[in-house]
Amino acid sequence: MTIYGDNLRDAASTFVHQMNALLNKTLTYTPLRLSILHRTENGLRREFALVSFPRSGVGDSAIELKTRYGPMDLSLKQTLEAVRDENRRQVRLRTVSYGYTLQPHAWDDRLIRWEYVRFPGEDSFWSRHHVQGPLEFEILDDRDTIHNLTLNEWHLPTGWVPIEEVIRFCLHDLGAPALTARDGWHAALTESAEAFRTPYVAREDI
Amino acid sequence: MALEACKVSPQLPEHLRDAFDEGYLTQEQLREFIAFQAARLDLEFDEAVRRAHADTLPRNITGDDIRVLVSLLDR
Repeated sequence: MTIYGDNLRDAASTFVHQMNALLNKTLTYTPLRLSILHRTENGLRREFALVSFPRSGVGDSAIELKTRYGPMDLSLKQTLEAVRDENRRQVRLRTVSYGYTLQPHAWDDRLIRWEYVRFPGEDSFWSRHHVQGPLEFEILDDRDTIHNLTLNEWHLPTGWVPIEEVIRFCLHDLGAPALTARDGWHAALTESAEAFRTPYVAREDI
Repeated sequence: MALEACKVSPQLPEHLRDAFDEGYLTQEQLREFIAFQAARLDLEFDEAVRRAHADTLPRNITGDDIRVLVSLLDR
C-alpha cells in the first residue's frame, strides 16, 4: 500500500505504526520513533522525517540482539519525505534513504549494512541499493595474483531490501530470540512484506 | 596493580532528549546533536561534517548515524 497522509508527520506516523506493530510480533517491543526536521536547500525549505529506534542516554539508536554469535546491535534508520500527489489532496510518503546495520558488541566495525540512497552525489556512480561489510574474500586472477578484498570495497547491489527481510535474517540466520513462535513471525513478516510490495513502494519511488 | 581510567560516556543533554521525545528537531538542535555524536568519536563538528561528505567516518553505528544526520543539515 502506498502511504498517504495530510502531511509528512501524518504519513510517516502511519509507517512507524505499521512497522512497530510488525516489530512487536517478531523481534522487539522497542518502538521505532519519528523525528521531523527541516532543511533549507538552495533557498528552498524541505521537510524530512527520520525514523529510528529511540535514542539511549548516550545518543545511540540501536537495540541489542542476543544472537547465536553473541550480542549485536541492530540499527534501523529511514529518512522519509512527503511528495505532493497531483491526484489527491494528500501527500505520499517516499523513502529518501535507509540504513540497516548489525554490529557485534566485540567489533569496532559493522558486520553488515544494507543501504539505499535516493539522491547520491553527482560524482557517485555506485549502486544506490547495496550491501557492505568487512567480510573478507579472495579473487585469484588469470595471472595468479590474489586480490584480497572486503565487501566494504564494493557496493554489492541488492535491490530494495524491505525491513521485513532484515528482521527475518536476524531471527532465522542469527538466531535472535523471536517474540512469537516461528509460524507466527513467519506469517507476520510475509503478510507485511506482501502488503508493502504491492503498491506500498511505487517503482518510481525507488 | 595499576588502575585503568574508567571512561564515562557523556549523557545526551536533556533538551536534546526532549526534542527527540517530542519528535521535532531544529537545525540548531541537529547541529548540536551532530557535535555530541562527533565528540564520541573524538571529532570536532566541522571535521565530522567533512568526513561525512568524504565518507571517511569510522565504520561503526555512530559513524553511520553522523552520516545520516549530516545529510539533513542546511545547504
